[in-house]
Amino acid sequence: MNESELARCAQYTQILFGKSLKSRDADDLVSVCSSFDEFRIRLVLKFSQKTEALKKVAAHWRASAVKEDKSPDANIMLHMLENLSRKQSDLELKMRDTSAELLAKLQAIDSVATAQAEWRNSIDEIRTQLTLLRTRLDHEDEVPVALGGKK
Amino acid sequence: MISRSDVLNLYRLILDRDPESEQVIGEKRNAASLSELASEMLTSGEFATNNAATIATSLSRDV
Repeated sequence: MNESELARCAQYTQILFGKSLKSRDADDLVSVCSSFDEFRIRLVLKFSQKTEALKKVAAHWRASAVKEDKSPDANIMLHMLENLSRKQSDLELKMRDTSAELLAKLQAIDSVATAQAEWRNSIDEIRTQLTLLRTRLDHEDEVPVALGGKK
Repeated sequence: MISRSDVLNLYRLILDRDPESEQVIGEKRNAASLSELASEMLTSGEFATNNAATIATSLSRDV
């Protein structure tokens, strides 16, 4: 899960349980859920015994699941399909956005690396010129007055 | 009374959308508590329809 989904998990847990659930218990569940959608249902099922309201929610879901097993409703299936299709589109959109962001960051890194290489070349050139100057100075018998030598 | 932002948060966290109108927000703010309002949304037909597959999968894991 990304940062945004983790934040939603924390917020949702806080609203449903307040301080009656240890954050470690919620964190353990977060680690085995692949999305916030999954977490918000499994959290209720796992810890429904902690509050009367959530006990009723879990019981309601179980009862509905039994009914659906007996008579699958075509309309619900259609809604599920539409919902899944919507989620797929959302995910594809997010993936496109993330790819664009990634590309921009890689381009920025590339520019910085190029600039760094140019600076390194300049430093090497300056170093070479300094070495040459030093060698020339070593071979000079006398330092010219103009360059600070004694008169 | 539940705050307006709590109602908005619950809608976004549970129903993945904003409330239909300011009137609905006003009505929901009168719920007994935040967890009661959350329970109401979690047992709604809308939540069941939008999350049927996840509920079914989670129930089978929960057994």
